Amino acid sequence: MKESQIYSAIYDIVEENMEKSGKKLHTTKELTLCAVSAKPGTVDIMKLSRERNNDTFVKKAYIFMLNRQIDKQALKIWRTHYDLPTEEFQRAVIIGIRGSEEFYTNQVKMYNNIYSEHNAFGGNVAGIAPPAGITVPERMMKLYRKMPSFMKSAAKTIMGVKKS
Amino acid sequence: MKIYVDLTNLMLTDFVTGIQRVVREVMVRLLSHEEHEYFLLYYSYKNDAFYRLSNERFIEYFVNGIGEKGAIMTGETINYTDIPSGAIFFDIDSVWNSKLKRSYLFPILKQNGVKIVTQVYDIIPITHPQFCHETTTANFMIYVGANLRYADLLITSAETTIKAIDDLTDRIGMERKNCTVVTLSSDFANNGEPEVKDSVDPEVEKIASGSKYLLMLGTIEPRKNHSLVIDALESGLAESGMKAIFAGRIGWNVKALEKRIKTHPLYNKSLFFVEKPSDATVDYLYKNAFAVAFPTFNEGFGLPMIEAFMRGTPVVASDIPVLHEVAGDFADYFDPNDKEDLIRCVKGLMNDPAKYAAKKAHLKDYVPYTWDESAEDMLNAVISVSKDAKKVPADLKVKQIVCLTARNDDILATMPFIEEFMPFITEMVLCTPDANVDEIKARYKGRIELKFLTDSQILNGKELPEDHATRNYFLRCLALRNPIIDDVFIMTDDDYRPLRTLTQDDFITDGTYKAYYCYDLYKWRGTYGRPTSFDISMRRTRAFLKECGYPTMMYSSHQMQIIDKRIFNEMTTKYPGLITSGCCEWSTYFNYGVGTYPDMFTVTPYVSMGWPGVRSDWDVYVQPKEFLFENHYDFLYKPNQVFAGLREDFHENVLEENQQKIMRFTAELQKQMESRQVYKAYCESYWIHYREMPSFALVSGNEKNVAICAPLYFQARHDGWTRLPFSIDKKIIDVLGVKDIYIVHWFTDEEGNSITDNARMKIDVNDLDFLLPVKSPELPERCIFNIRVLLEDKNKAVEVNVKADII
Repeated sequence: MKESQIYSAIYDIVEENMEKSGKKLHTTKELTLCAVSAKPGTVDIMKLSRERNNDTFVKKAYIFMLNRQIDKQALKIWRTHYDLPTEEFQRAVIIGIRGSEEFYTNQVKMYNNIYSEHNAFGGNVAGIAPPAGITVPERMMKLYRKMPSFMKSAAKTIMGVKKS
Repeated sequence: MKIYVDLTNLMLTDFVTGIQRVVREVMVRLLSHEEHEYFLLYYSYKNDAFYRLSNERFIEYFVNGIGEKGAIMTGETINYTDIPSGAIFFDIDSVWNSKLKRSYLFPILKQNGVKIVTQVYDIIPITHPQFCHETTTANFMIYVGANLRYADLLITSAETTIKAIDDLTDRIGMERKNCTVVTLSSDFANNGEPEVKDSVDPEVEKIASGSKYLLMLGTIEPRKNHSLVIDALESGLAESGMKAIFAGRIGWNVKALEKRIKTHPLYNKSLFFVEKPSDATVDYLYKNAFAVAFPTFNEGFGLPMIEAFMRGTPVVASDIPVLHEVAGDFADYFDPNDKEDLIRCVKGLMNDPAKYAAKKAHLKDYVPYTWDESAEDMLNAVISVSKDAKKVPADLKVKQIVCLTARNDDILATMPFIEEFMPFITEMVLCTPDANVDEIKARYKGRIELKFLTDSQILNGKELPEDHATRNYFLRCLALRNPIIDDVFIMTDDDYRPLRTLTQDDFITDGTYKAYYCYDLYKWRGTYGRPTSFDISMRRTRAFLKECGYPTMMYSSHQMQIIDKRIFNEMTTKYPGLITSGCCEWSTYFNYGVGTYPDMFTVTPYVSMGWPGVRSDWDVYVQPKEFLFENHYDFLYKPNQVFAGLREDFHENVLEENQQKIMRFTAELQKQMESRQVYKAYCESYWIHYREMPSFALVSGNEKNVAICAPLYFQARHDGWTRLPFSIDKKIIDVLGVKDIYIVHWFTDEEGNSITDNARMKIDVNDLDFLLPVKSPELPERCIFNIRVLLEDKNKAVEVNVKADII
């Protein structure tokens, strides 16, 4: 039996068990198989960019770049940008995650970053990317939410997601 | 026995409970078994390798409470590939959320013949995903899949879990796994007394005093079904004078439940929550409880029940198979979906003091499993995967060498080297065309007895395949079925020459056959763009091995290797299609052997000089630590080549000359290694600077525009070969329909004058991730590295110029 068939069958069983309980799985088979094949600590942005669906792309980006499923809060923010053209959306996601504390801490090695500022599809994403803070721990978000608006604005500038 | 254990999660967790408790108690006991060598590991995501933990400091910290947790770590790193064949990788920790996914790690371990044993506490995220955190479920699917695919043994704490695993494999349609049960103990010392060092929380003493209470101990999570106890309190249990105390920590997906508890009218009257109680408080709560309530929907074992029994406290538990298995008639049972049934069960004890007293008296008969017993059973289970292992007999004597050759001059030139340097060889079987036999007999006058298996004898009327690789495999398979060939022999080609005196120990070590590998078939690029018969054979072999679930190392190491023909023939009987498949005979055999009989093989880097013949041929995957063989290429003896001026034939001073050859070849190899070191350092510094790895790619955007992505600068060693990872966007082939792609690269000085020749390479459109071999300028200088990609059939070209620092 092929390896991918095992993971695929397990996914089907879990999905069925979840549905029996009246709930839905938050992940998909495609994302599960994608996580199976992920080499720890490395991501090839060119290959990742082959995913043309913005929703699947951002979910895969979290798996490969942060080694985890996307959290509901981050997904909610990214969803508001799903209407962006694919390249623009992808660039915002990659640059957004790359600028996060979590990505920095994880020390993931990024290959073929076609969205790097000096590369063909690179560019300024300020104003497009949601706050990089979406990937920082919740305790920092709590702090951010409590800030007065002028401090929030300053924090965004410091994080590089807003032009000063 | 070498046993490797990944304890990353234990090291990262502050609160030692549940699984961490099991890991701690078992590991500290296993370490006392000095007949085995334990490697405790901590995974570093940054280095993608393990750090070794100090066994002594582990015990000091976890048993005696001495020192800091961080001090357990040592600076010694252990790569996955360093774990040797025959060793056991024992996963006892809760590793499903580990960054090192087992779907990635296990195939690598199996590649090297490492055995995998996993303690599976339960498979609840598979059978009851609704009770688990979504991340846990997502990761657990991968963890279970990897274990079903690769583990040699699964240890569970209950038969019920084995049944769940069997049901799962049945549903998947795969073979059932080898599973065994090891009963767990609870958190007590061997004398039955709790190891309690801290004091009881006085607030808790206040709560617990007065009326009777039901205790629920453990993390607050949906699966534990705390709601049922609250429902029962509301429905009359509280009125009957029964309280409920929940002790533990807040888990996942329980925000609503937490709110219900803390805003409940009975909160702090009949319903209490004790967050993260100390060991002494837990002990106090257990001892003074009327009963422990365990309304869980599912469990792997049910540790709180055992802990209650050991304090003589009755338990009312869910009527589910696993709890019956663990608690038997010591507990009373109720339907976990029926509050009335819980009330009935509790009131049955409350209203009948004689029954309650009898229950407590019965608990005196309860004989708990100790941690010593659990650890002992665990160790026996772990090492059982190697107990019945086949070993190479200690008295085995190898005397025969078998060679497939059609070139008389070559084998006759090699024979003196074998005679001189392989004294244990007394017999040679030559598989050769009929026409070659007489000449060999006439010309060979040495000490080795020659035996012949001619093509007509081997083929016996069968037709010889045309393709070189297919022909070789076909002939070898047929030859190995002939009784003239010993069960265990040395297999060689006519141009593999020993460089110094060899003994049988160079082929057999510690009761295992040495399997000399030179590459990972998945990384083999061969002659890029112009695949040879050899390269195609490697691809076929990789596909076969992957399909059948065997390791995928490359053993075509261009040197002699030891073969057990019983294993070879077993393989070709099992996979009859292999005989005419054109696969690599070395790689299929050794990977089959390592995969099927890991205890009979030691996987080790190859020891052959002249493979590759020249540095530009392909990138060395593993550096030989010594050279025992020369893969003889006559062109290496031509002027300007590595062995220029040295003799090819056997002569009086051959040993001294072989030393010279080794020195020269090592120096060549060293240059390649230095180039690799420079490239590695460049990648590291580039990454630190830009948080990206330097890499090259040809990409296409939405508007069908094509561009080269490249790093901002490039560094390489002068006069060296660097192999740059280059990827081509599949879209360029699939969407733009490009068929003819060439990459041209060259170096220019800062004024634009070429300082190297143009190198041109055709891209294989079926292989779009490759290594671009770049020969750097001969002298150190700052220059420009130019890459031009030609899409010839589209009459397009794109170019990029990267600043280069040649050092």
